[in-house]
This record gives sequence, structure tokens and C-alpha cells, in this order.
Amino acid sequence: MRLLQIHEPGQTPDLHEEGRGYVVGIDLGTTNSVVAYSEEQMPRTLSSESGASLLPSIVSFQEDLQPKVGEASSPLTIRSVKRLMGLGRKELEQLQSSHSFHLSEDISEDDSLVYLKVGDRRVTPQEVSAEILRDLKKRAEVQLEGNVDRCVLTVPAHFDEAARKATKDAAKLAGMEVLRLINEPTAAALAYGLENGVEGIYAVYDLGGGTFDVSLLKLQKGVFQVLATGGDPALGGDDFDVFVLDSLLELHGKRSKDFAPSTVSSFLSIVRCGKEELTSRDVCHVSFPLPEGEIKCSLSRSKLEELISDSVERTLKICREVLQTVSLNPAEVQGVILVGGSTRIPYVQKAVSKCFEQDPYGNVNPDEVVAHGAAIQAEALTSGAQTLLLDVTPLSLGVEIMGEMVDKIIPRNSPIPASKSHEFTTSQDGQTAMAIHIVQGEREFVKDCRSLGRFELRGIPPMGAGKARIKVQFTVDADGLLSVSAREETTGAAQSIDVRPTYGLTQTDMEKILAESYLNGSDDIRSRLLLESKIKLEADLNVLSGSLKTETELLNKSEFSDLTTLVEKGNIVLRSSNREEVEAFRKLLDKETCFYAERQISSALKRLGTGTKKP
Amino acid sequence: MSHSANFLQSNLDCWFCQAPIEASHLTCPECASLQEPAAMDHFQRLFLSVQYELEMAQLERAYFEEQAKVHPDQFVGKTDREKNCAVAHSSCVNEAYAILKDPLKRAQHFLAIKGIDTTEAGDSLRDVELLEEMMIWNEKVHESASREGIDHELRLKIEKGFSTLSRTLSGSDLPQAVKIIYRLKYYTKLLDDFSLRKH
Repeated sequence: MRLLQIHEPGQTPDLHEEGRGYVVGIDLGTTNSVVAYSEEQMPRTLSSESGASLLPSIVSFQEDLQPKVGEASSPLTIRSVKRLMGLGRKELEQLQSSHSFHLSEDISEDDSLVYLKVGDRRVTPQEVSAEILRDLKKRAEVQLEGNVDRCVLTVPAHFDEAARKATKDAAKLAGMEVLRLINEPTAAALAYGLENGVEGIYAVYDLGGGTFDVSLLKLQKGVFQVLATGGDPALGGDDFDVFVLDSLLELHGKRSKDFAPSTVSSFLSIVRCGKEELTSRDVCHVSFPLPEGEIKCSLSRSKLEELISDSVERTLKICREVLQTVSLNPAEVQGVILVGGSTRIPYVQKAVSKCFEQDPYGNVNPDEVVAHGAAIQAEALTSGAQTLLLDVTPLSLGVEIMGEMVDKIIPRNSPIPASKSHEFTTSQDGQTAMAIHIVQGEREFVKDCRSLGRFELRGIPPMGAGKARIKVQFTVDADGLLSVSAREETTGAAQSIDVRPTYGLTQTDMEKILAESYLNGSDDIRSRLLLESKIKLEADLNVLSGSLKTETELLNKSEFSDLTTLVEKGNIVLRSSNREEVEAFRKLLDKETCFYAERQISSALKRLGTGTKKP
Repeated sequence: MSHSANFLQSNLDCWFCQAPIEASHLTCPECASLQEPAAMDHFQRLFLSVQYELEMAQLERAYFEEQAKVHPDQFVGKTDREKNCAVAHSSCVNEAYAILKDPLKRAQHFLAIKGIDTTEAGDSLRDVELLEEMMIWNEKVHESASREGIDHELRLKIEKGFSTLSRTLSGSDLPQAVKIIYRLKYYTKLLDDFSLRKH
């Protein structure tokens, strides 16, 4: 409501601040997820009631399609959903483990998104992730004995725009506001650096279930500065499992593609257990149950190493590239921090030691350190940040130019936030609109980069070809997310921009999902939305009745009595259990009090002595 | 000054309470709201004096100090408008740091402040001496057997160029500085391409 905008800063910037809940840090992992909370820079993991600190990132849909998180308790089980976040169908083909997902075939031509098939429904990866987040939220609420409504969420540093947005949307669906997305290696460095009070240049090698990141950070008193980052968003322990499974099945003349996705998925988790055993043993035995009898195999540590050696070498190549980016020798790196479950593999540890010419630190819990960093940042953001976290953008951002080439506007490893402008001009006389295609990636051709969206600039004043100068401002915020604005420079006319994201959910999609809330099965989302609407209406009414007492002179008699009646009506509407009714009344209230708000603003301005209303 | 001009302000009144504000102030003296970044050069942005000679430790300190004031992490609970101001400010500070950290870009920026544009290559093409040097070096890089030797020679040349540049700029011989800048631009580009091919 307009009336709210004339409050002094700091007085009521936020409606909910008083009754606000706890803010937690969440590591939404491919294999496991963790929630943590920090007080006075002392982070701790919030465990489940049974004492488990890790929540397996598994969602099983029961017969009635009710989701169960953390265990594979039905044939309809979804694992590693993080690998699908922000993916389009094109990218899916490159995913090693794609055939372990039961994907929906029910897609139209212009549908670029990936959907999962759950019974007769199509479900987005965002919704499945939201189930995991909802479970973590519940877990935190039990431990903290209070409401949890905001979080700092970690993402792999190499998550692109689409995957970041998808992750943020998942949190929204789970009923949490995301205060900041931070990169997983950065979070790990934050937790490690603060706990150990170290300074100097540190490398974080983060090999998880589905993603690989390496970041170089400069740590000094209170400042965590990312110098450069490199990685592969589709390389992790899951891929190792696929290699092992394929090799074992091949010995028995079978291929994983011959089996149903749910069978492949359960085979992969059997392989994972075997792989984990090999961390401390030289050989393990695995057996795959089949209708015609069990397939029994043995797997040696040396075989595993042979199967993963190419992938591990790929990570080392990325490490060397990142070192080169900032012109550093391995010897100049003070320490190496290992993060992610896959760094438990002795072969990986050996390879990292060789690459950085030193043994990595052994005193880090690779599963929980990321969530701890997120929790520390969550505390800093809400109680005044003492630490300065300076991160970079992992991928270059550019626009399509002639010949389907890419013109880079914000290069990778630029510190964020970053804002760059780019000037475009028209190619025809009297042209009033133009299309701009934004892409993300390091390659020179559009087809090799990720398409982020097409933007249409309209309302360009008609001029001769090449005369108009349209300045487009690209801004990457602290979450690593992009926004765009444009202006015609010769006339100063602002342009309207239509964003058509290539991937991800539109606002309408989000609203639809929230409204349907079918994964929930209950109406807790609906009741939360109702409650939110009511809180807003109540605040609006409070402001209005306050104004009616103090700024009566701005109204004539009939206006005053109209508005007083409106407040009375509003107080009745507050008892309604129908959100639509509450929202409709808020709209009405906004409309009916608009003139009053304007008078208040101009009277406030007059009091300040300027007398004019700024746009 | 194309970089800071992006954020040119149309007025210098506080966007929130309309109190008048000096361009060098980050926040409104009346209501403490963070303002949109004003147009200024990169030295000013980091509260450094406009001179080419710059200690990296001093630059870094100034950079962290300014980021600590304007980074969006400091404005989480604030209004969208103020958050946007923080993003814009923080971007400007990042940009200033990136330009001043790079000795060549810093020199170009310094000259830009003095009204000399060195972004276009046009003038360098009239420098016959430079053109000759370029031809010799292009051949050298192409035909040389000793890659390490070339790499070393180039680095030495660049290093020498920068110390001459620094002397020239503090001696206010700006036309000579422009000449050196074009040479350094060429040699650093050559070294970059060379290292790229090596890998």
C-alpha cells in the first residue's frame, strides 16, 4: 500500500521484523543436505530428532503421491535431483546419469524444461528440491523451537543463472526467503577461515555428488576475497557410480540402459555403498537383485581408480587453469581445504596433494563445513556483517552479435556485484524495437553457450539507422543473478524490456505451483499465504487509522467518514479465512486511499521545504 | 570516463528525504539512506589521490574499506531502492579496483582524467617506429625455436616499459607516456597470445 512508503527509514522498513523467525544456513547437496545455525560465529549442525546430521537428498513418493524425504521407501524415488536444477532438455543429454531419472514425456515443443514423472503428474526439479528444503526447515524448527522463515542457501560456484534461479525458487516454494545465495567453496572457506583464524591464499577443492568446484581465496583479517574459481557443474561422485555400474554390468553382458530408471537408481545406490567401502578397504562385494537371480560382483580399489582417473584428471586440469588465471604457483597456496563426500576417496586426495604440491587439511568435516559457512553468513547478514565476503562470477556473460558470435560483457572471475553497460544501435530507419539475446559461457559461438533469455527493447524513438544509442545495463548482483535495464541515450527515453527466460519458472508458474501445492497434499501453503495477506492488511489498516488520527486536516468531512468506515470494514475482513477476499480488500483499500497518500506526501514535502514532488 | 558516466546522477538530492547532498557523500546526512553512486573517477571512488604511482597494499586497503561500506550484504533488511543503490555502488568500487590494479589500465585512466584518450588504436598506427618493432617481434615470435627465451625477453621488455612509463608520468611528459602506453598495449597482448598458445 502506498501509505507505507512515507515512513522514515529504519522505522518500519520491514513488516515482519519483530515477529521474525530464525535464519539458517542450508547446504542443499546432490547426495546429502545439511541445515545449520550460527550464534556469535559458532555454527552448529541442526540434526534430526534421531540425531542424524545429514539428510539424504532423496524424495520418495508414496502410493497416494505423498512425498517422504530422506529415504528410498517407494518405487517412485527421486535421487540427486540437484543435477536437474536449471537444466534444459539439451543439457540433459550430456548428463551421465540421465537414465536414472524417470522423466516426463508429456512435454510440448516449446517446453525447454525438464520434468519428472510422478504418477500421472509432471513435477519440476524445483518442487522436489522444495520437499527436501521443507524437511530441513521442519528439522530446524524443532531444534530451535521457533519459526524458520529465511535462509542463506549454498550453490555450486559453477551453477549458472538458470540453476541459481531454480534453487532460489525451490526455497520460495518451501516457504523460505533466501537472503543470499553463496557459493559452496566460499562458504567452506568462510567456516574454515573463521574457525582456524588463518590468513593467506587458500584453495578449496570441492568434489561433491554431482558438481566440482575449485576456488582460490585470499583470507585476511575479516575479508574473504575470492580471486578466481573454476569448475564443472556436471562432474561428481554420481558419475563415478555410473562408470562403476556400467563396467560391472558389462561383465555380465548387460547395460544400465536396459533397466527401468527406478532400477538403475537403486543399482546406483548399491554401487555407492560399495564405493564408500573402498575408502578403507582394498576390495568390496556388491550384488544387484534381479528377477532372474542376483548378479554378484567384486570391485577392487584399483579398478575404481582406473574408472575415475579421467574425471579426476579433469578436475586437476581445472585447478591448474585457475592457478594460472591469477598467476600463482602451487607453492604460493598456503593450504588446501577439501570439501564434498567424494574427496574421501584416497585416490582423489593423492591427486590433489600432487597438484598443489602439499597435503590437504585433514581437520575439516567435508559434509558439514559448507552448511556451517552458510549459517555464519546468515548470522552476519541479519545481525550486521563483520566479515566482508567478496565473490566472483564463475561464467562470462555476453550478448549475441552478427554471425551468431558472442560479445562478452562481463567476463568470468569478475568480482560481483558487477555492472557493465553496452551500447546498441538500430540498423534500419525508423526502427522502434530490437531483440537482444543474452548468453552465458566461455565459448565464442552462441550455439556453444547457454542461452539465458531474449530481451526485446521497445519504444525506441524513430530515428535514422545507426542514430539511436541504446545503452543496456547488465548487472550481476551479489547472488550472481542477472538483471537488465535500458535507456535511449540521445532522447533519454527509458525502454521497456520484456524478459523471456529460456529456462526456469516464470512468476506465473511459481504462483500456479504455490496455488496447486499438490506435492504438499495439505493446505499449509494456502494457510501461510492467507496469514501473510492478513498480516499485510492489518499493517495497512494500522497505518491508515494512525494517519486518520494525526493527519485529519488533509481530508474533508465526507472523505474522513468514508475512510473511517473502510477501516471498520477492514477489521471485519481480517476475520475471513478466504485469501482472495483479503487480497481484494487490500486492492480496494489501496485504490480508495491513493488520493490521501498523495496529499500526505506532498504535505510532507512542503514541510521539508522543497515543495515539489520528485518522480 | 565512460565507466563512471554510466551512473550519472540527474540530481543531488536524497532520493528518500530530498535533502541536498554533496556528490562525495555516500549516504544522506539527514536520513542516512545510501545514495546512488555519483559520477567520479576511479581514484576518487576509492578516496585515493589522482597519481599514477600506487602501492598495491594501499589500493587493496582502500578497496576493502569502501566495499565494507557499500556491499549489498550490509543492506539485507533495507528497501529495494537502497539495495539497488548498494549493488550499483559496490559495482563501481569493484570496477575502480579492477582498473587501478592493472598498471596499464591505470595509466590509461590517469591520462583520460587529463583529457587524453588512449583507447583507440588510430594514433599508434602513425608511429612508424612502433610499427617496425611490431613487425620484427611478430616474426620473432613466429620463428623462434626457444619459447622460454621469447617469454623471458617479452616479460623483461614489459617490465622495463612500465618503469619508464612511471617515470614519464611523474615527470608529466604526457605525449611520451602515450607512446609508451601503445607499446605496452602491444607487448602485453603479444605475451598473452603467446602464453595462450603455449598451453
